[in-house]
Amino acid sequence: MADVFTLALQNLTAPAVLFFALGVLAGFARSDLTIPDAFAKGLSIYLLLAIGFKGGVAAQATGLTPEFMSALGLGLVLSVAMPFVAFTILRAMSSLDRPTLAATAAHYGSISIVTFVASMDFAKLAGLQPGAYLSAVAAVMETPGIIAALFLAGSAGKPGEGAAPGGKAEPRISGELLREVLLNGSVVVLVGAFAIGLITGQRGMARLDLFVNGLFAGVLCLFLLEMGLVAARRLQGKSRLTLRLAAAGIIVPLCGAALALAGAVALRLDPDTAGVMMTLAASASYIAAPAAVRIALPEGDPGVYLPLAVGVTFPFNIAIGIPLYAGIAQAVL
Amino acid sequence: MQTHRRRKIEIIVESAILKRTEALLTECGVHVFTVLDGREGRGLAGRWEDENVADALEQRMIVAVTTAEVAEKVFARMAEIFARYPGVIYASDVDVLRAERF
Repeated sequence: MADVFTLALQNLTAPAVLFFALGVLAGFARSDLTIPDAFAKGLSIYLLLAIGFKGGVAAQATGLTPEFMSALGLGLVLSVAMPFVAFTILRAMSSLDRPTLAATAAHYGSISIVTFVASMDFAKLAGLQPGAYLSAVAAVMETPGIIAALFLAGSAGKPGEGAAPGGKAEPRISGELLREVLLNGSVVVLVGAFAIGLITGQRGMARLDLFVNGLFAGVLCLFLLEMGLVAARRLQGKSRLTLRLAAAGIIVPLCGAALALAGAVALRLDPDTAGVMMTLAASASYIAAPAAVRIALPEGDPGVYLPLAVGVTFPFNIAIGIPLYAGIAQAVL
Repeated sequence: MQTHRRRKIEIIVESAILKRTEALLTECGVHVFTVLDGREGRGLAGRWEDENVADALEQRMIVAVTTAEVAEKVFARMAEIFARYPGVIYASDVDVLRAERF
């Protein structure tokens, strides 16, 4: 059984993580390296399609197992619980205003799909076999935390709040917001590809094997190179990040992982799956959550939640968190 | 050559509220407008640039040409939006060739 240090070493010398580090270095050195916008978005869609499709094919082979249902339930609970955990820690460690606290908590309630993809890739590299159904769990965990965090901001909108003089107040949770979080592009591709994998099974995999498996590791490297650039630029750009806030950006994911571990122990999940569940709980969204929060909580300061999610939590999870969670899950379960 | 005086409105908003702004324009009676991507710039909160990840914070510019009455309505409605959301709106006089289009 691999220990934490072996896993950490394996992770730090994996091409994907090294490409991420290259992106960070290039970003801090103010290199003119850029990945074109449309290409980066295409890479992200590819990763979601591949991971969703592979998950669907594998889920068809195993069927609706009790483990799948347990992980799904745990994912939902974690997603709703994480904003409260993040809100409490951030409030204790900073003097941020309530909208910014809630907006940041929403980012920790949702998940980072790329962190999840990196975690599944790491598991493969380390010879672990987490449940393939986890892509469905990841999709389920995208949204509830965002909604829960909006209640933290002051329930679903108070009378008169957010209204212009003479204008009418608008509720925080509107149809526009629900459309944004439920039909978020990442969720649509991930769930859609999972369903297509589920329907087509091995027959579909025989047709797409080269596309979803052969190209996967390379595309992940390219996307993490881009994420490295973004993380570095986010930290250099307009940011209200303090040392205490940055510390919170590491403490919150560790608490999320601990909560997921407790759930995994209670539900007797296997250690390989538990490691990825811990990563999911520890990750912070930077695609779905900002979109929802900008609509529902524009008073929240993006100069706090974006550098925290992209510049602190994401790199921490990619470099240290993923192998750490996997190693702890192996040791405890 | 015969030209007609109209108001050109330029609005810059984050993409998160682009759809809402477009709907507002249509409700006010703006029939034609164009949306452009913002690449980089500097605002009161400092420098910003399109960075491929958080789409919601990308800037979009909407350019519309309309009558003075409709432009006034748009300003009043946008004031409600700008009470909560960041963005700018400004207008200027322009001459157009085919008045019936605006």
